[in-house]
Amino acid sequence: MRRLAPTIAFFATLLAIATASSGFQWDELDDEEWGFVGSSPASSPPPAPQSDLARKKPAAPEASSSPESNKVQFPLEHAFGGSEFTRAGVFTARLRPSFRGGQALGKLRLSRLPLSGAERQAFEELLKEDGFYTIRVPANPLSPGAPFVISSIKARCLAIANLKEHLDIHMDQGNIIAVGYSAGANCPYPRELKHPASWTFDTHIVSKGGEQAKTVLFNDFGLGSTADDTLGDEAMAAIKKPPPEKSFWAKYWMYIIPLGLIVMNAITQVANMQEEPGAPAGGGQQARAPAAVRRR
Amino acid sequence: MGSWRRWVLAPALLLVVLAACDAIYEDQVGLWDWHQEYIGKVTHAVFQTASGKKRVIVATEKSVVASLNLRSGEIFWRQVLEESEPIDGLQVALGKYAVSLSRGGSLRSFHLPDGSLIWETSLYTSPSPAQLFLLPSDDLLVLKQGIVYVVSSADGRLLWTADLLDERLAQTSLSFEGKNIYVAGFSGSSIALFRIDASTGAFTTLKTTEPLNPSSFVLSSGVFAALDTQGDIVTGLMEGEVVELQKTSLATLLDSPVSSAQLLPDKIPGGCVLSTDGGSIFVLGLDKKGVEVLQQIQGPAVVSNSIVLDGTFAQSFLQRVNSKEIRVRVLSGKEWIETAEETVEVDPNKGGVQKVFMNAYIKTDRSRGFRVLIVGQDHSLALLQQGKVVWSREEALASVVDTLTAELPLEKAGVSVAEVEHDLYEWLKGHVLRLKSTLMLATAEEQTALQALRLNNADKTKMTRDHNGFRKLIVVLTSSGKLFALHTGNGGIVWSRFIPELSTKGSLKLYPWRIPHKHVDENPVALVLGSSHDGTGFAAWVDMLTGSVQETLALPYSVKLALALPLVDSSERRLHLLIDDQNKAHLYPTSDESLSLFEKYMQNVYFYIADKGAGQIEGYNIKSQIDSGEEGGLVFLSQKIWSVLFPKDSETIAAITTRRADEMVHTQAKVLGNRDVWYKYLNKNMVFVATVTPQDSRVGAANPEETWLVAYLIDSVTGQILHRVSHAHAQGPVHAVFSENWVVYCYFNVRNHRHEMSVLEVYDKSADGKDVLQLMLGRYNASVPFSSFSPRNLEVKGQSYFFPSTVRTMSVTFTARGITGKQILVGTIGNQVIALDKRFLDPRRSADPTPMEREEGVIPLSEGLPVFPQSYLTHAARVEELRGIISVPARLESTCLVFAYGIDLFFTRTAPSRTYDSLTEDFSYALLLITIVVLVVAIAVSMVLSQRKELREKWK
Repeated sequence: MRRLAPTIAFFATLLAIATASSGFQWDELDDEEWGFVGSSPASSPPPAPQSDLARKKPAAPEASSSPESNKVQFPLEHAFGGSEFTRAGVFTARLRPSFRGGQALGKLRLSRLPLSGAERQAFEELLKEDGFYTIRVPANPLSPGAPFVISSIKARCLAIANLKEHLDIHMDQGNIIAVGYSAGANCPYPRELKHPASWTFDTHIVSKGGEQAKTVLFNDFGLGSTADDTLGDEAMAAIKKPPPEKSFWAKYWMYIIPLGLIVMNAITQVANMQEEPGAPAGGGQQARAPAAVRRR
Repeated sequence: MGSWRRWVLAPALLLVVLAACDAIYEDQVGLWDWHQEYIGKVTHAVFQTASGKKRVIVATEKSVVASLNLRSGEIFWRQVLEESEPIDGLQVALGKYAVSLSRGGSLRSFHLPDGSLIWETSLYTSPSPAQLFLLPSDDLLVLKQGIVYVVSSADGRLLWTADLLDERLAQTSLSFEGKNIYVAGFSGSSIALFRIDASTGAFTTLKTTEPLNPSSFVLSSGVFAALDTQGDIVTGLMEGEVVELQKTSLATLLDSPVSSAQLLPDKIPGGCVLSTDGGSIFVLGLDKKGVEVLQQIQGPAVVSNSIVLDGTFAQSFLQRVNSKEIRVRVLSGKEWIETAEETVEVDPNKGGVQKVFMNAYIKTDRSRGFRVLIVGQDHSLALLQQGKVVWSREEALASVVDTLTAELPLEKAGVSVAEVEHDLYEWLKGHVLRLKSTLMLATAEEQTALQALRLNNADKTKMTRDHNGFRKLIVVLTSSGKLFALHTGNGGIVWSRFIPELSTKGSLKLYPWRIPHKHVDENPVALVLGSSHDGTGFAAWVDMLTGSVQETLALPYSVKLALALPLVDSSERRLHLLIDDQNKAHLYPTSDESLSLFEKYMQNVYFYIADKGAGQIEGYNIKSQIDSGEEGGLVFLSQKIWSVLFPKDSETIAAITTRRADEMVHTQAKVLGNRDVWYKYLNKNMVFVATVTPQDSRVGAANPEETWLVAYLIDSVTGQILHRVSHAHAQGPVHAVFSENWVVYCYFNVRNHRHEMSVLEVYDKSADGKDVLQLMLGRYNASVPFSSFSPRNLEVKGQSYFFPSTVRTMSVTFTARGITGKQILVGTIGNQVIALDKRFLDPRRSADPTPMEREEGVIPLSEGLPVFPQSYLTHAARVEELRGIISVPARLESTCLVFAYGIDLFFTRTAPSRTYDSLTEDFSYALLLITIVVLVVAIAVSMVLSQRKELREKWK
């Protein structure tokens, strides 16, 4: 039976490899790679040719895709506490085929437009009233326009983080499901009023494709049958692994201890019997004598 | 008395805990659980009084065919058919079969004495309405949009079928006369008349002398009658090839000008019933000569079916005299039967009468008597006979839509001595019996007496609060608009209240408006909200202990969502926000105090609205107060702050679940076997959303490679997706429960052809490295508010298992302090409730747990979740069409009350970690006392004996 364990392990590894390969191999950008952006000179060590490229045509009228480069552009828009949405930046992304059919977006970059004077004023206003700074992106970047995906943050949180923003872009087959918008610093309630030191956004983008769930583990013996569902785990465990051999002592202690006691008892009794002939006679007389005295 | 019993015996606790079992014993059934059977609102009824048991066969809106005892209203038998196929017709054939016609074309015959299925025929598959008739030859006739099927009642064989018209008839009427069957149908433009030979099915199409475009028409005993658009009544005899039509002006016939009228489809041999817009009802006689008015009934009335008595028809008419009384009159031919006129006092709490079924019987003095079965507006069923309500059934309870629980009032001090003595005697008697039973000395009679004593324990149904919190009121709201309060002790109805305004509203909800904590002597109040698609709503405030309606309010908007805010005013009324169609928020109660309370809190009010059709979820925040205009009240404007948009072609929302707002969590920390501490992420604003790949509903259309389920955890304040995981080959329907930091959801795996249950547990990793002392001192624990706008570091653990049963609904146990372990309550397709221990759904289960994990209690991994026979909470009972499971914490931490509803109701208790904090109810205190006494006596005796022995020894 013990020889089975490596076999199981081997199959489990095979299974794991199989499930992993049946899933999708994410390209290097998805999930963890931070896209860099921004026009903030302080925090821009990488020269980022993409952002330069984007900056050259900041007023791209509409998002467009050119077939030869597979590049897509779509706008980021913002609003200050329920005002009209205005252009805040341009996303550029590369199209690639998706594992579930259709197309997926990769290599997401954003070039953020600097805040204009009026926008700064609106932002200041928001800080005062603790309002929401709202952004939106088209839900379908391949054909931008309505519907949009909206996300907001308290302007004060952004100010506390010194305009350091995080954008988690949740995508599925080229569609944007949601944008998680958060500030780069803790923002406990009540939020304090603080003005940002500089008016340039420091943006970090994470594009998230979601993960695939673990599938149900198959036992080597229980594939496809329903009977073992009702067996219970104890029974399954019993089938799977025979209990390890117990030591002699562990197996028979309940017999050994009473046996030992009996033997010890017998030995002491034998020892007592040897002593008995002399001792009880003297002791008895000694005991009887004071009693007799008391009776008198 | 109860407390000393419990505390004195603490040392015995361990023993009892060891002896306690998950399941219950056979003699414990009914001890603290109850099961009630219902049938739903009656749509068809046929009396069966000729021989043997007096019974009435009914069919209901819930697709139940049942046989009721006419003497008591009890159910002899019932058959629950497919709920998606309503019952279109019910007949009793050959005096021994009850035959039902379902919408999908299934004709089923049930044996009258026991309800067993005798035969079943499927005539067609289209889900279109049809009518079922019993031919004079005792065969069955089904008329469906111009197609006639005649079926033998003996074995369900199709005798003949006649397709009368290619085009489908929207409205049809049918009558028999001798060997002929007459059918009239209206195809939307013209009337079509047919005469069919009843034995062969050969039919002739009849022509009319002139074209006719009637508004309503009937056929009766071979005479055709119709109302045309000019306000004339047209009659014709269905003889020969051409039907000669006679016109009579309605105004001259009825002797009064009539603006609009309608012929009712109720069958009267040789006549018809006409109702006018003035509410009057005319009974018309039809024969060869034409039409005549037989009788006129003033005012609104409900007309029963007609029965044939001595060659002429008889029909009863019910009219409301006042709110408490209704008058029953029976018309036989032209004349009212004087002896049959009765005024019956009925419960005004039942609303109006919607349907009447009449039956005649022979009285003991050989004269004729009548009884009527009435269906009330509140779905109740009642039998009226001899001027009295003989019995009534509260069938609204078959359609529970929402529930709340209310605490009973506290027991008043100063209970009379007599009561205590009686109690004490009963108590002693019970214990003596129990002792005998334990020592196996009890006779069979004593055993039954003991069982009866246990079942009818007077303690159970008291109207006061008990120490353990087992006695409560379950307030249920039904789709009829009637509220009931059920006592948890035995399920008895404590009060019921019918609110007619609610019966017309589509969606109904109950909210706890006022739960008194400070003013304990005041009654809790529930808010009932109803809203309909026409843009109106209705609110009622109901006292939860007495059922009296304190206030009602008609709302000029329909309520999309109601939010209970965590704010209460000085009289402990909870502040509620009602969100209307335009996402405006209306604050209740509308007092200055609530406004000032709300203004401080306003900035932190967030809510979300999920639109399943559009596949999106939108988050809103309250922005500012606006002028409410003429409506008055406190109205606030909301602003959209986030949206999540699921791609329409690949995802549709299948399930949305949140945590219960009043859930108690005992500890945020989870200590692992290796002495690591994980912190549960206890965000009350987390929402679980499951989406599935949209697909056409055809069977077998699902392609396993293209079906996905995506599970989301969304923060409903910021709209951030905290976690997203997809399951391949998964298909809905999805059921989910959300509790503490975990979600369990269930779906179907198309590839493995099995149901799967998955778990997600969320842990807060940002607290990592902080020590437990800091947590205890309150720096990081769950009682410290945290902001959704701050970044977080979460870890989500997941695992999937196979589940051996199809799931109808899911719930989870809640206990008073959240210390006790959790059970997941699964309502299965077999209409039973399974309690599944949450430990089986631990994502940390692995195939080979380490010794540390074993020490912690992690169960080794298996592919399936075990269902033990003992884990069925419903034991042998079935809750037909199970729709919901509610769990309510008792005051005793170990125990949770479970209420399951469908067509039936079921209530029980469950102790997920066993009753570790109390003795079982049938614990033999007497045996323990006697043991102690015997021990004390034995000690005393042995002491005396040993002293004597010692003395004797010393004398030696």
